[in-house]
Amino acid sequence: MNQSEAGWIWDGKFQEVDIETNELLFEWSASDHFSVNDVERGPEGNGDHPSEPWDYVHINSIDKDDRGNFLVSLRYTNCIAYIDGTTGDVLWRLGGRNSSFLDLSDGAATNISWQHHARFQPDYNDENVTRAISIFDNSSRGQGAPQNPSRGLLIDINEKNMTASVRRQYWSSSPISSQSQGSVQIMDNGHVILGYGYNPAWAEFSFEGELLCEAHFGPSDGFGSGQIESYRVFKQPWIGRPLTLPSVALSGSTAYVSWNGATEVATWVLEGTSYGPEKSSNETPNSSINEDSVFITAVPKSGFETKILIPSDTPYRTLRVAAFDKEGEFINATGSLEWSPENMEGEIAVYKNGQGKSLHSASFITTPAAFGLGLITAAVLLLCAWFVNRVIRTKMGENLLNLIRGKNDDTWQTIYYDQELDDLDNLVPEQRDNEALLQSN
Amino acid sequence: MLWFSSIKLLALSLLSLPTALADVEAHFRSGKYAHGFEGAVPLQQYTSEPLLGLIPNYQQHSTGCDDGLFTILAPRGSHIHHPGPMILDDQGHLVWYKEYGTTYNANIYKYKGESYITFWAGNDTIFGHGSGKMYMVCPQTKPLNSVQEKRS
Repeated sequence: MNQSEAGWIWDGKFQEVDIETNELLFEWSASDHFSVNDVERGPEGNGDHPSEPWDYVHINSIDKDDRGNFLVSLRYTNCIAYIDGTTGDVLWRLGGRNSSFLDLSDGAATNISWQHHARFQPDYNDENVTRAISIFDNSSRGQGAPQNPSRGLLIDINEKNMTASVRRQYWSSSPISSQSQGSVQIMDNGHVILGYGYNPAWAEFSFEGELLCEAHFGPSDGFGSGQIESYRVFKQPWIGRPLTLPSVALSGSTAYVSWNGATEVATWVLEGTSYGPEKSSNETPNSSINEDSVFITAVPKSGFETKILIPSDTPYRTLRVAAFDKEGEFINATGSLEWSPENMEGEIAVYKNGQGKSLHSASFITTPAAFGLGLITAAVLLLCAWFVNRVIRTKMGENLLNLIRGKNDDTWQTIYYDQELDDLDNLVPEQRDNEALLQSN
Repeated sequence: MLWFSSIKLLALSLLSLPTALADVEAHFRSGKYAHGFEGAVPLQQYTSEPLLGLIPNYQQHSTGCDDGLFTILAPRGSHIHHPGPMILDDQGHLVWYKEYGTTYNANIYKYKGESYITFWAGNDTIFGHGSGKMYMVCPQTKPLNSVQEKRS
């Protein structure tokens, strides 16, 4: 577009800050280098008033290279720009209007649109390539422009002769079109992780582009709705050793154990402790050799929360749950937890962070109660059958049946369903005693 | 009709009987899930912690992804009422989660030899595209640093 009138914009800026001193090291404003003529997406009614500025470039990613320069993505220009880290000058642009590169892939290396997460990638020691760039190419911004499937894009650029070519494209199993957000990560092992931003999905590929895993964390029918999103998705190594204690919920028969943030647990061990809860505040839960605790059972850790069935003949009334790693080494344990199965009908005691206690009603009906419900249902059905039988034997019921059978005229008469129901409603006052009988069960 | 409601009650009670596993495991190419019959927001609850975990529906899941590494993301959106950074294992199980409000760009970075969970959290509806803080969190300790943009 070509606009010569004045108006209001949201400027696109980035800052480099020293996180230890909070010192501002570098700052850059798009308005110093990008005019409205660089922009693909128009103001669409914005920009006439300071309360509604025009988000004219919309910077959405920043990367810094070893040379001290920056790679910035400007979504509404459909280009990424390389910024001199000293002067702030735009050294080159890739994509959009005024692209600096000759595209050797028939346009596929530079026809990015509404893109996110531009990152330099390590060199591949190829004399024809100075380096590579990964981009999440949304190819959609929602309504108002073509909405194409999103792709992960890995581009080789040569900054000597200013050429760009596609090295790899990464596609989901069926097309996902993400109108915003998104990420591309190349892992140390070469696998590529795509986060689909606006749509609740991520995918993992081999470096060559073979789809290894694709996970949706929302219904695909809901894609395009923005109901569930994640700005980016990454996959990383991590070790979690929380200083908190495991959390345990105890019912009359089961222990549920989880430990938010712990990654090293392989086995959960349930132990009975012979001393009572009064001593738990003095106890140091870090001791693995606890002469007073006796092994009850052990289960492998499974998922976030692991279920431990407590043997019904367990004599202990205080328990503790201990975590062991895959070498069998003790990690940590909860304090002593009160457990009185006789008094816990329908209740769950939750020991968050391995201590204290809060009681909750069980959110599910236990098996004996369900069985009882089945018996009640059978009884109710029998009563209904008896009741219908009784009604038929009344005068009203007989008249009803006669109407249906057409006995008086020796011919069949049509009975409308509504009329039949109305007649039954008229019987209600007589049934009240029966209803009271049913409810008392 | 009384017996209708009794049968409904019995059916409901059967559905809510405790199941064998504590976690709801990830689905694989579930059509029901894809069409929203497992809920518009498939989340799972736990008994020992008042947290919510994801239930992924894998379209593809080869052993090439079973590498013991961790997926880090930050679910948010109109239907996510407790947003925050989240870490899953390679089977989609919850490993860590904490509610920080609307969260962007959750990742794990090494800083001076220590791994930190890093993310932005704040209000993304004001001042253009939001106002908030960058966090570096080591779950073993208190948050290390929160950095706010400089006004210049």
